[in-house]
Parts: sequence; C-alpha cells; structure tokens
Amino acid sequence: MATMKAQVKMFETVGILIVFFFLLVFGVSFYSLMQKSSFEKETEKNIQLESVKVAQKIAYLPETECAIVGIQIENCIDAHKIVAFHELLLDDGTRLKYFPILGYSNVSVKKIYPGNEEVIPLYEFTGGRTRKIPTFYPIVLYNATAKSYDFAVLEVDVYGI
Amino acid sequence: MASKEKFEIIRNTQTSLRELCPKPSYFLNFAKSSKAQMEIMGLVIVVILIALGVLFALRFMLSGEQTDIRKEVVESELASNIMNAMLSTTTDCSAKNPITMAELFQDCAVTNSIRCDSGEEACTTVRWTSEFMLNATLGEWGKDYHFQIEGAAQTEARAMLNFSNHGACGRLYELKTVPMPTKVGTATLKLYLCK
Repeated sequence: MATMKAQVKMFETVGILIVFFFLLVFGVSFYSLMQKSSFEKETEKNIQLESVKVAQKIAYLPETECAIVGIQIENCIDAHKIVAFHELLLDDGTRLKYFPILGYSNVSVKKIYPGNEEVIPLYEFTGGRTRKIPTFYPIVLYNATAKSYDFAVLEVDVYGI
Repeated sequence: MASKEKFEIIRNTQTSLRELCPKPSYFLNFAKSSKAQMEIMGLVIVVILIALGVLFALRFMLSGEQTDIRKEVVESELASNIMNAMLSTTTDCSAKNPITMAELFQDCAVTNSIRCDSGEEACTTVRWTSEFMLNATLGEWGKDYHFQIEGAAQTEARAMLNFSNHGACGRLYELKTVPMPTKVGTATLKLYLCK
C-alpha cells in the first residue's frame, strides 16, 4: 500500500514537471515569436520611412527642380534636367556619390498627360535586393522647349533587405 | 481512597474532557474540507493564469497591426499634390495659346466660352481631362475618389464636374479644397480621397 502511494506521489510530481516544462517551452517560443514579429515590423517601418524620405528628397533635389528666375516651383520637375541627370547617374562614380541620398532605389518619372504615357528613368540601384516599397508623387513635368507643364507621377521604389 | 472512588473520579474527568474537547472526527472533517478547498483554489488560480496567457497571446496574434507610416504620410499629401499638379498642367486644348487646367476650370465655371482646337467646349475638355488624370493615378493605385465643383455659375459645370470612380465617399476621407476666383464669385474645386 505504501509503495503504491509513493508511486502515485512520484507520478504526480512527474506530471507537474511535464506541465511546467510544457508551459515554459510554450512561453519561450511565444516570446521569441513576438520578438521576431516586432523585429520584422521595425524593419518594415524603417523601409517605409526611407521610401518617404527618398521620394521627398527627389522632389526637392536642385538637380531636378523647376526654377524660373531662381524661384523654385513646387511639385515640379524639369524634363530636360532629369534626362541629363540620368545620363550622369549612369556613371558608377557619380552614382556612388548620390548613393547616400538615394540609397537602394529605382526612381523614374511617368508622364501621363498630354500625349502618350512615357517613363523617364532617373536612378537605378537595387544592390541585388528584391523587396520594394513603391511610393508615388503626382508632379508636373516642365518642358522648357515646349514651354509646357505635363501631368506626371514621380515613382520611387525603395528596396529593403 | 477506595478504588471505587478513584474510578469515579477518573470517569468524571474523562467525561468532562470529552465535553471540553470536540470529537476527533470533527478535526478530521475540517482538515479534509480545508485541503479540498485549497486544491480548488489552486486549480482556479491555474485556470485564471492559463486564460490570461491565452488572452495575451491572442491579443498579439490577432491584432493584425500593420505598420504603414508611408501610407499615412503619402495619403495626407496625396490629395493636395494631385490637385496642385493637375491645375498647373498645360492642356492640349489650344496649340497656339497653351491653356492650363486652372484656366479651363475657371472658364467652365463662369461662361464655358473657350473652344478648343478639337471644337470641344471648356467643360467637356476639363471633365474628360481631369477624369483621365485621376483615373490614371488614383484609379490605377486602387484609391476611390470623388471630385466636384461648388459655387460655379454655370449649371452645366456643376453637373459635369461632379464625378467619382465609385460613388460618394463614406465618413472617412481626405479632402483638398482649391478656391478658384472667377468674375462672378469664387468657385471651389473639391477632391475627396476616400479611406
């Protein structure tokens, strides 16, 4: 009878230990899952902030702005300037100089109206990254030759990890 | 003392002790009942703790909280940027004398007297152009919008410049208002970006 009671006690202790370790493992795995998820959210947030930052830098970059007698026009990009700037950026050395400003991104201007749609590339450097966050900014594209302002969209794809 | 007296004293003492002390079974029952209650309390606490843990886990798993700072920043400026860009755009209405969208809106709101090279009236041109621009941008990006003019003298302008790609917005929207001074008062262009 005494042996039986001891066995029951031991079984009870083992059961309690199993439940305890089960709860411990569950807690630890849940905690690590939460940590991973919060890290991913933080990374996502950083990429998004970077995307907004790059788009705003481009929109106000002196190399692309429309300035008439020294006065900058808001939401305006000069069509001739971006063509010339793109040619400069094809050179690796120049692109490297602009890397701290533009980072891993693809920047282009898509002309929508008038006439047919046309995409003018500006800056391309993905660094082998694939995950991108696109940001669009409606702008006017100033054509100094035709003295016209075309409706366009500045497309900025910032690449994350 | 006689043995009979001694016996009597002992018997009386035992009786009084029995009366004084409760029955041993009472002690046993009390101890057993208390232990059972303690165990029930322990179980209740464990169940409460597990329930709290599960609720905590569910709160994090099912919250579906999405980090979308970009969306907030971009959307807060989108209506404003799109209206500014649209109004500054030079239309292909007249090849000789470039006319901006803002000028077409103003003319449409008051007299609708401008005739484009294609023969179209200002209201017709401005309607299809603005609708084309908004559909090529907002429509393409999956955003619902509603565009309208208020305070226009022309009935035709009020009718033509009131369109959307899905119907009116609900309670949540981003609004950009642009006042357009005209000869007969101020017309107001409104772009609602539905959320």
